Amino acid sequence: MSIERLWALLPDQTGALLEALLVLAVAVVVGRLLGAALSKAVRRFASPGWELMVRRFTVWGLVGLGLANALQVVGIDLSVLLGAAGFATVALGFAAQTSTTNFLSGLFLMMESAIKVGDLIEVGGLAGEVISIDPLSVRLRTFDNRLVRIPNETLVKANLTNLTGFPIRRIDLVLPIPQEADLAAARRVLERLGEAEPRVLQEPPPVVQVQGFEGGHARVQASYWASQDVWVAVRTTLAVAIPGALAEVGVPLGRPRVELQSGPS
Amino acid sequence: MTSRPDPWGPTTIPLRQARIWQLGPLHLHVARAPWEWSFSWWRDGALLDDHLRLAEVAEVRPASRPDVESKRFAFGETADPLTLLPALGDRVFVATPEVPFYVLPAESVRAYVSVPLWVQARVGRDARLALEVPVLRPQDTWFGSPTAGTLCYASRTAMRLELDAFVPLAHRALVTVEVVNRGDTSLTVQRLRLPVPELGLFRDPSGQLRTPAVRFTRERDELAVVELGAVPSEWTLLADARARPSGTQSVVQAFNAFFSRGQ
Repeated sequence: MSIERLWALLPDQTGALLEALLVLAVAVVVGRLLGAALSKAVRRFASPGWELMVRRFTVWGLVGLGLANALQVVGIDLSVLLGAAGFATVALGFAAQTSTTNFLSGLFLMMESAIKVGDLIEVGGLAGEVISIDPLSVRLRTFDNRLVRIPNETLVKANLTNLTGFPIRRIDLVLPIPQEADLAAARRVLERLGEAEPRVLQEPPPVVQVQGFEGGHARVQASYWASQDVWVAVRTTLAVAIPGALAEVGVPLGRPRVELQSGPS
Repeated sequence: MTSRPDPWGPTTIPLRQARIWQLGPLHLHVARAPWEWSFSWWRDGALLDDHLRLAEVAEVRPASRPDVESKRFAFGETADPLTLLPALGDRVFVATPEVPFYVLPAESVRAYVSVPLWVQARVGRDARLALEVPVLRPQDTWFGSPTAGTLCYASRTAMRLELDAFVPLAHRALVTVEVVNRGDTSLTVQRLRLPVPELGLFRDPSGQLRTPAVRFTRERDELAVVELGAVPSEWTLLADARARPSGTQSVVQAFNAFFSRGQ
């Protein structure tokens, strides 16, 4: 049945149209209720990503079924429509290939529990907060408040770093200190800074180590631990305090220098 | 122990006036206006500073210092009194003895640890909680593995074995710790996990703030039993436990959940 013919028959099929609308409305309402109930059940044992996916699939599935039913009520034969749309089907097949990959990747991601909504992640040079895990993609809010949609397949293939995967995290500050400076004094100062900042964890303890020498400078790494919720604030506090604290004991911070010599070698 | 002036209880602050308290390192400035209570606080002085200033008249504007923290609470109309109450910390404390001690098999010891108090400022006749600040912000620490554990407060302590050697301070509470070693090997106590939020806060007849004793028993099968001791009847309850009602309880968990030790 063509669309033109359908519209021509409208006055005679008002009842069928109303019935179709009712079927669709019921499908939407039932879909939303069932989606909410199922996601609530899933919430008890799965991550928010699974919860979101279950809800969306339930709603979309039931709305799709309702739509198909509604079309049949008004006399549109779906099998004829789909059969006639051969070109569309082929195109859909190609499109679905990517979608299917992304969908399956999304399932793997959630089975691995590598990320959840609210986590801070780094992937492919991008960093931000996961704001949703959808069937085909993950939405990321970058730190400068941009929305980035990353296909699930990309996340499965790429090296993904979950910055907030564990409750505590280490702060590493690498400092170039002239090698003729009093490195022992520098070490004491850096350790004391960790003891003086109450948000720095006493355990695991701060560690100060010399990583090597380069261009007349020692590469000193000061490592402190803090809980995830204060990590950025503590890192900033320490980074601001370190130059002054080192200067008080006569230890300057500097840039590794490169010596160039001219003349015959 | 000598009894000292008691900083806890209600105070009347007339409109457009301020009072200041000092409890060891904590300075608390409270100003009352017709429609707001404002609180400012800062810390200076040593860890075991025992200065005590109680509700002294102060300028309405608090001291101008870079480390002052402030909070304002707006009301339709402010009402007396302002009540200061003590409370225990809101997280577990990990007590680390300055020098770890050994407990031989079949031996039990009693040690004393002090923990800093939190000051609660409550306003009005119904004593609604407005502000809660620690007298001293303890250092954070982690108990457990880096992938799973508990965020706690650290308490480096002399872990004195004699009560008389303990210096009483108005802004710290005394926790009696008993360690019983029923294992076959000696036990080195390097860190001890004190369930402070589960402890009630009491005042003993001498005025010292105390908690129920915490007894850690190391069993032969590497389990630790943690029990809270009974509170003497002459002690007065000042604050209920935050986490659950205080009282005798018994918790059995893996040994490492409470002790960190080497042998």
